[in-house]
Amino acid sequence: MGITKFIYLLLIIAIGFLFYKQENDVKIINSEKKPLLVFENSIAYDISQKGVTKVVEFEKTLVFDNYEKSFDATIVSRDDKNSTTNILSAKKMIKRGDKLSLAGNVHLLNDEDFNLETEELQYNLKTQIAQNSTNFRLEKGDGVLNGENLYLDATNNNIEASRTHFKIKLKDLDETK
Amino acid sequence: MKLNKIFIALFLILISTTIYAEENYLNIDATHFEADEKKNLMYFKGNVKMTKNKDILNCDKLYINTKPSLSDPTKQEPKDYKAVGNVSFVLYTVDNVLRGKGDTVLYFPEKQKYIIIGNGYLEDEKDGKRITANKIYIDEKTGHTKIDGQKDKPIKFRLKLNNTENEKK
Repeated sequence: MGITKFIYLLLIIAIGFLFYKQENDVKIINSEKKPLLVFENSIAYDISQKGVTKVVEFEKTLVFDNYEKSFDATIVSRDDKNSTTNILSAKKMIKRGDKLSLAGNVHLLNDEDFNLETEELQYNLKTQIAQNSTNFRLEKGDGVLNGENLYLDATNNNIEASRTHFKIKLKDLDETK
Repeated sequence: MKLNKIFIALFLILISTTIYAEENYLNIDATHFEADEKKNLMYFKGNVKMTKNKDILNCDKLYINTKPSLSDPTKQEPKDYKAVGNVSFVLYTVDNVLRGKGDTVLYFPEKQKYIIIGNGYLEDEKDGKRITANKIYIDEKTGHTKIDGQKDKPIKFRLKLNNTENEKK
């Protein structure tokens, strides 16, 4: 009798397992380490003997071991060598040393010399070289350059791009005629 | 009725200002672009198409030397143009249309002078003149055309005579 009850019990358990829905929980393993520091709605200043050289304003910044991730950030930096001011802003910025990876509504304004708008940009704070592989719009003087794959060396004033459309105002030219 | 007239007048002013604004722009399309501000040079390569109003120039490569603008020295403006490789253009002057071809075309905007170098060809739509020469000089201001040939490539000049024949009849 005991054995029969035991077999029935096993059968019920087996049937129970047949209809048991196992939840397919996939745990998202977050490869990103926890930030060392988190700043929110802050302004950071770089101050040297000459005064304020850089101002960084952001909604949120996460500081990790070897990089920083900022959201809705604006960097205003002053280059003493060329005495120019760069204003760089983006929805998302990742900073590794002098290298910045920017994404979303990227703007780079160089002391009213040029104004660059794009959705993705790699920028080196030291060399002032900007590169991207998407569409961009660059205003410089009376000219506007639209294109892809930008290479912009702000120190040596070199620009390269592909699939370009260049538009320039000829007002001064006509006046000279 | 008065309001309608005001709206029409405003609309016409808006259209005329838009057209006038577009007239002052030079547009250049190319597959590759380079600029070196230290050398005051802009370089366009690959399927280059330059347009200004109705004027069109097509070529393989286009070099534009720039200079500081007179009104604002911080801004650059074109000084001269050099179109190289399979150059063809259509130029609308005040009372004429010029169609040209050549290996190289130079344009000096201040002097309003064009030079076609190598396998030069120029067609004057108004008078039906056709010129084939190694070098063709065009003065936009005066309307004068000067031509140079080569030893092995003489100058060819063709004039449409249809009108004079009709007059004789």
